[in-house]
Amino acid sequence: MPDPYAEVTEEKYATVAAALFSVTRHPLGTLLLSGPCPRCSVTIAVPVVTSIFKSGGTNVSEDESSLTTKRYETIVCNCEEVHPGRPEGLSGCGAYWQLEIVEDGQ
Amino acid sequence: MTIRLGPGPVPSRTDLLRAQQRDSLVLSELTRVRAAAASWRTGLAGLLASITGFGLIRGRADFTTMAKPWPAVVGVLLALSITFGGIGAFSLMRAAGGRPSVANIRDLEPAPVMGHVEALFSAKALRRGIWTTLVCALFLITSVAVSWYGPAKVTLFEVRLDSGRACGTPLFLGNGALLVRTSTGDRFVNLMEVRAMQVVGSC
Repeated sequence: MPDPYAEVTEEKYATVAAALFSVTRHPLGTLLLSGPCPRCSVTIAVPVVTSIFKSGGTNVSEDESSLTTKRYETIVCNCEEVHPGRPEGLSGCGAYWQLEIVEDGQ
Repeated sequence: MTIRLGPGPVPSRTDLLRAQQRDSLVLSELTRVRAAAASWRTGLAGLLASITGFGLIRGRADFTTMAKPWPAVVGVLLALSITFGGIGAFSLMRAAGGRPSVANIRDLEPAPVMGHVEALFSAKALRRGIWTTLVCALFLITSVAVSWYGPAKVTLFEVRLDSGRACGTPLFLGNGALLVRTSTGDRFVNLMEVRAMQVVGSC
């Protein structure tokens, strides 16, 4: 029986994810973090983006959208497993944590 | 360049809501940019169609009646309009439907990344398509305006006289004389001395 959906975070989630997740770089400053969710253990892939399409407003320049050397990103489990009680339109088990992303050698 | 991951601080509920909103926007990004591109394409096509229709109805049909170099100016404006219009149409179609290609399966980006990257490229094509199409419309309007208001060709007369010739624009006729504006100045010609008169393309 899978864990019920619950929007929870624990300090160990970030520690486990930082140890087990891998990160790959893709075009336009996009990173892909992948690894097992610290709560439900399902392998997930989370794109980390620096810019996104929206209608209206000003256009962000490429300099502004480039990666900074160090930043924090909140990661939310996005697995497709069935977790009872999950609200319509959401995915994952509800676990979330924050990772520090550091780029060396820029 | 290496990328290192480390544990961050414990996130708040606000961080969670922002992350959920961000993930939702990333998931729907490609669909949103495609829909926006389709709407812009339809709107801009309508704008161009209305301008073109108006120009065809009211534009000057015979450019040989325009003074030089205005027919050439109209031609250059139309050529620029077609060039920008072509780039705009291609860019808008690129944004709305993507660029068809056959990719090596080993080079494919992971699915969560592929949609986002394609969405950003499509957004860039959409922005390029919008401004190039508007520039195309501007050139089109300018070319129609030049064809309306560009100066008409001046009729030149060559008058052959007993004592030579006078060539230029006729200004006045009366009292047995013809006033002709020539390249060297205005000149009165006695009609009694005129042996022949003809319209010429240039003096």
